[in-house]
Amino acid sequence: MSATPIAAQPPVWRRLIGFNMLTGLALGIGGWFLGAWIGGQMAVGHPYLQGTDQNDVGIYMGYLFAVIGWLVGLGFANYPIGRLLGRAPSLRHHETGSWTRYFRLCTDHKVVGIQYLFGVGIFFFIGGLNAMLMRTELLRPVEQAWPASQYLTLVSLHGTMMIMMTSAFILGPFGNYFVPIMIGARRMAFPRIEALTFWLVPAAGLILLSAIAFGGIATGWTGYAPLADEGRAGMDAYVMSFILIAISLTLVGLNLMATILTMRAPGMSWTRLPIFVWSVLATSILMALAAPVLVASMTMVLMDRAANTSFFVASVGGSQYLYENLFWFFGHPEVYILALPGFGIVLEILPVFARKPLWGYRLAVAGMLGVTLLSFMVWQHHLFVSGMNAGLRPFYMLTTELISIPTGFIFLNAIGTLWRARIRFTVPMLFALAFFFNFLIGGLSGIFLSDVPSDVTTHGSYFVMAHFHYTIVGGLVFAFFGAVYYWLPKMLGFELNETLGKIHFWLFFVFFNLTFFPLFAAGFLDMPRRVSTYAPHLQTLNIFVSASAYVIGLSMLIFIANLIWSLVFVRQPAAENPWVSRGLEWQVPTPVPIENFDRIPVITSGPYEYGVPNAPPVADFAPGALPAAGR
Amino acid sequence: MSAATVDAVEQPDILARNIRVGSRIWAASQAFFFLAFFFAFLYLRALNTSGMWRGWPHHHPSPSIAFGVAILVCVLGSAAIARSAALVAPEMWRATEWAALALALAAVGLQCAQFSSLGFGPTDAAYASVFVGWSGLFTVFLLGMCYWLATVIGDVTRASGTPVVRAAAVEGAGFVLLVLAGVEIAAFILLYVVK
Repeated sequence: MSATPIAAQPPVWRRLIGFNMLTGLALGIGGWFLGAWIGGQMAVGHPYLQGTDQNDVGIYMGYLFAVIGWLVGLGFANYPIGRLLGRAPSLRHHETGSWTRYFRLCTDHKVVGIQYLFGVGIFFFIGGLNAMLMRTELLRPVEQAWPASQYLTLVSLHGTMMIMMTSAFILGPFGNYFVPIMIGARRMAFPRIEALTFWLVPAAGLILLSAIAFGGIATGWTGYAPLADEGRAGMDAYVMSFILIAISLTLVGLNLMATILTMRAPGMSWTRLPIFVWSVLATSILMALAAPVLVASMTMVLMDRAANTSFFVASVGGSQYLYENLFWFFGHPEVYILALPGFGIVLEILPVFARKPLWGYRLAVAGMLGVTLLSFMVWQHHLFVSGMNAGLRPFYMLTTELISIPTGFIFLNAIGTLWRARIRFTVPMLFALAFFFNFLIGGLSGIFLSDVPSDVTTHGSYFVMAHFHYTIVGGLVFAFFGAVYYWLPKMLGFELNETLGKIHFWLFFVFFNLTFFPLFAAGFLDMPRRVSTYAPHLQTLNIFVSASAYVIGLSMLIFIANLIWSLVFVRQPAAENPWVSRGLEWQVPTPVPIENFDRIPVITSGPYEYGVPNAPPVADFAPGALPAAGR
Repeated sequence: MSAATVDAVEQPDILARNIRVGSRIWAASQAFFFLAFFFAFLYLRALNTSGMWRGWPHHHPSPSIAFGVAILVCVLGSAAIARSAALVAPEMWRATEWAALALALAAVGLQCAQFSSLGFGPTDAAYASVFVGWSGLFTVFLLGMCYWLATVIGDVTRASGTPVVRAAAVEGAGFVLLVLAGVEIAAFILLYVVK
């Protein structure tokens, strides 16, 4: 590794001045007022912009300038301006230094991964709190704590926050942190873009939360027109935050895809690529292609609201169906943006704790790529009851049901890997096994929704709600926690308490099922989504569900307590390879050096050859005859 | 840590490959972005909701075809020159990139001029909405492309970085601009010819 001279650190107060989060916040707030004022001035004298019933132009301009201020304050303008002025600034920025690098632009993929972990985690927690508030309202069948409109805003905030944040839930922390290490690279292909993708996330989260101050969101997370066109100014926050997240997702996909395609170490052939990296590659394809369509559709909503265009206004030649089509063209691949990384994580974890090779590696890859391809061909099943052309239904029913075949491959991989294995029931393994239990229920209930006759009777009910919570929470979130327990010792260098981890798992697993399984019944009993009142005879069921949901909340508190206890108080250093894994990421020291590897390793065998006699080591870490970098 | 020290670990051929692959993915993302407007055009035109696709009976928005042709020619010229830069000797890169930038900026200027004398606005029903949205956002993307070309010119002029990375930047910018030109061809056919 090249010598990296370490300069003396300036005092803390000096480190707080400059390009960092505090400056970003200050410039962001200033930018908001400046933009809102400019927007207000722009509307004067422009009939198109004045025609809106509230100052949408001012609000959008406020958000735009706030985001620009935020990014300038973080230092993102320095590089592009430097390029134009003829300077040749470093491609890399603030990779060394103290804790302050976590609060500023840093191009070290490991720092960005940890930024994602805690940043997204905070918004996930806020989304979870919204869920608790919703369940409190549903303790009684009549309105109690909040009026219907505020309840709807709670539902919308919960849904939007969770969808936005869970999109980056795995690729953000674990994709950014581990993909370069797992493929034997020193960094991501575009480190500045990587940092940008993270810093857009808090901006989007805060803008979304600001909807509360602007009259809330009346549409749920899907933002359907024409309600979105007619909604109060809170919709502007929804639109702007979704645009930012979609830009972030597009760039995450671009960056990860380019990294995997170009920066693999010598010997890292496609058949030796860790299955998690394959899942990241498949997800990245979806992100890079589907998220731009979301940016476009949200821009159309923005123009309808701020400039009185009529993309979605039927009386002036537009169509709300256009929105539904565009939204779900993104929205259904989005489901797999959430699910695919979960597949990758659980298949990564299973062989380690089963001590057997991953069964059907190529089948798993085929399954993931099959899901990726088919996910672009199923979106109209969300429109079965919208009045769409009935002749189109069978095609989308068929494609939706077809997608269960490649998804089923993943279950075959799991069964084959676990068959006659001597399983170690560690916390990550428990979460991985629970993933399959939950996702199976989610998948089977999905078949009912892909089928037109049954979808017509359950659409808009709690059945749908239970289904997607089984796939997203039961799938993605369980995989996420599996990854947290599996990889956190490498990321943070400390062991988590296993007993607390198991308590967290069992409470979460049991009460997740007790919360969401009864909601299938609630759906069959015609309890509608997004409404705070319901038939009185469903109250007992709802009290049971709410009580179970509170225990899920408690399990999350136990996780946070475990995190604080283990990282702040106990600080038990983690072993370099506590799970005795063959993964490349476990062969590097803890904490991972800034350049990941002294020399780019040469990969000599696959990562899952557990129990294979005479299996060679996974890599040669001192390839003397080879250059310091390259494929 | 000095820039020279930390960047020393970056191998030029990897940087060049990143730029080439990244530019292709970005071009694909761009294409999917405009696919939404392509779909919106066809969908709203086919539905003709309330008979209002082209606007009110006596007020059909009709953008100037002369502007449309001029913008198309500038974009195609810019893309052709930028793309051909990858085929010529490095000594020619500066001139070709300047020419591509000038034509792209001319297209942006022409689009702004057209907007200022359009004769209709975004409120004039569905076609007008698609026209303003597609053309406006295309201009935004073209402006971004101008920035990219400007940085390529800067790198070529100062010979910063390594030749292989400069070549990748020239080639990547040309490829993305070529895809944008494809988008502009589709826009011209739909927005000016088919309507």
